[in-house]
Amino acid sequence: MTTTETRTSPEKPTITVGIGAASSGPVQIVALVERTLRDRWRSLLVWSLGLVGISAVQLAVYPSVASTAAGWQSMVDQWPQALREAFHLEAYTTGPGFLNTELFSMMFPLVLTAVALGAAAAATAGEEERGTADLLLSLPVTRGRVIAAKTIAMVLGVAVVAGAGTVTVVVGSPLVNLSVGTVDVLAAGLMTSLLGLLFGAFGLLLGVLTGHRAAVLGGGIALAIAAFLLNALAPLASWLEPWQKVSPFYWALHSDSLLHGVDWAMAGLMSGVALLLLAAAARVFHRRDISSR
Amino acid sequence: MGRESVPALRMRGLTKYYGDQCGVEDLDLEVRSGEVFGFLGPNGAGKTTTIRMLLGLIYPTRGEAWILGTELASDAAGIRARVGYLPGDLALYDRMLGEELLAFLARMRGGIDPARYRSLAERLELDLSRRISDLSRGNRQKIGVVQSFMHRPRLLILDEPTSGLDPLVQLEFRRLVREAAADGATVFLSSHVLTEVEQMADRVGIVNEGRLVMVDTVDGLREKATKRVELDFPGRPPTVLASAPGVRALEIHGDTAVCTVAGPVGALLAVAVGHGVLDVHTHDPDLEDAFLSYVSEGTP
Repeated sequence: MTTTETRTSPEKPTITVGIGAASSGPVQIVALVERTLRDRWRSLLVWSLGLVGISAVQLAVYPSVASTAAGWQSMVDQWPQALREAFHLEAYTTGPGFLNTELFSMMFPLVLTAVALGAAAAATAGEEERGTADLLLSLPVTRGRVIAAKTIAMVLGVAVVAGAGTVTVVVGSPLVNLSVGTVDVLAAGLMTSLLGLLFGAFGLLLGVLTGHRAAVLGGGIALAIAAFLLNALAPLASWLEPWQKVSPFYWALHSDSLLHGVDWAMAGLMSGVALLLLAAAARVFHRRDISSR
Repeated sequence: MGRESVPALRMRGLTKYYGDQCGVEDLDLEVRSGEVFGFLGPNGAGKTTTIRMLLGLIYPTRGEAWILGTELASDAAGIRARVGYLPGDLALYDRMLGEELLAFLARMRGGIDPARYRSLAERLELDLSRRISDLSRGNRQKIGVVQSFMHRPRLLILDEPTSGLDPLVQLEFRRLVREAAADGATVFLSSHVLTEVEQMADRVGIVNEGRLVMVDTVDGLREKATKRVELDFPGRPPTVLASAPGVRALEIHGDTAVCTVAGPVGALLAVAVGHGVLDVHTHDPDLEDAFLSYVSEGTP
């Protein structure tokens, strides 16, 4: 896009009039990201503290779990194999196994999905419901840039919360003699962040389709729960099993990042699907009437 | 290619239907560059719908619009760089301070000297150091006014700009409009009361039930408007007054005749003088009545 600003009339040299939309694109995105994060920092702080707290508590429990390792193992051995697989109980008493069960297969995905959906709900639906969309979109900014800025703010928000959680695990693990690779913890943080962002991207699409925060949160949470249950229960029912692979939870968790690091194929798949959803959101938003209060 | 020859605003067959809500239909209108144009109509007539189409917030069902010479559909964001907009139902980011919000909007517009919006705020007696959620409706509206003027736009589109402003601030607002017009900017402002815009506007267009029912100069409207002339007589006023040219209605209250007159009153006075009129009271043309007569046509 180029600006076709032709000022032929003899006017005073006012600095601002001649600045077209295209020339200030990155500035606009930075300004909008900053504004969005300012609006959300309280919420991000609370989620970060929550995830740090949960991680710390789980780590604090680990020494007692490790000390009963032998008894635990004999108990688990008597459970059905499907159940053991579903909840990763086999390796529960190992460091990575414990972290996987207690934090990365549920708490991290849950919290990061909530953070992403919160950002998605506020992104366009929130602006429309509050009525501020009229002011924002009367600026010389394209709707595509608004979606881009809101997406960046969502990614940063998820990164902050995931970062707080993973750093807690990385720093806390040695303190409780839990042996796990630092890179692997970061990998698990990345995979679960991508999972949250995938649902966030879906939420953003719902937001531009409906203009309602409730739809974003409701639809996003419903999809996330369905995906979680599908992944968790598929090993228990043969008819469900083939469908496990369509669950984003499977994409994020199956490769066991805490043992094997980032599964780049799955990371790519999650990013790709998220980008497709975001592109669809930008397209829908571009053509849509902005609702007035 | 003088920019002056290009209308600041041009709509051709601009139409918006949505669901069962009142939209607008086949709007054809040109607003000249440098003109102050009053866009009038009762609530729900389609003013806000029209304005939101001009900002690219909603898309026309059909028809086209050119703003400052550029077709709206071709570069809405680029056009908005040169337009100042005050939403009719203004919502602001409540958690920000006034100053923060204006600084943000200024950044989004590519940078504006803070002195510019601070001086506007000062003129409107607006305290920018306060949190927006703590401001009264009138003070929020002032922020809306400041942000629409601060980048010295070539076109101002103001939807019910004076709503919530107290009379003194309205006065200052009118000054701002006049100054902008003197600088060559075009001002397109909507209102549901004619008297609010008659002092500012060069021309007015009246929209009712989604259709433009008339466009005229304020003077033209005033000429067509009827006025009331009260004539005191020594006794019962002559009924022949009713047939004087221009008289639309005659009421007699005791010794006083109350005539509703359109256009010049000379002929009526001549008749009255012939019947020994004692005193004459005239009242300003009631533009509001004229306006209402346009918008009530076709409605029961």
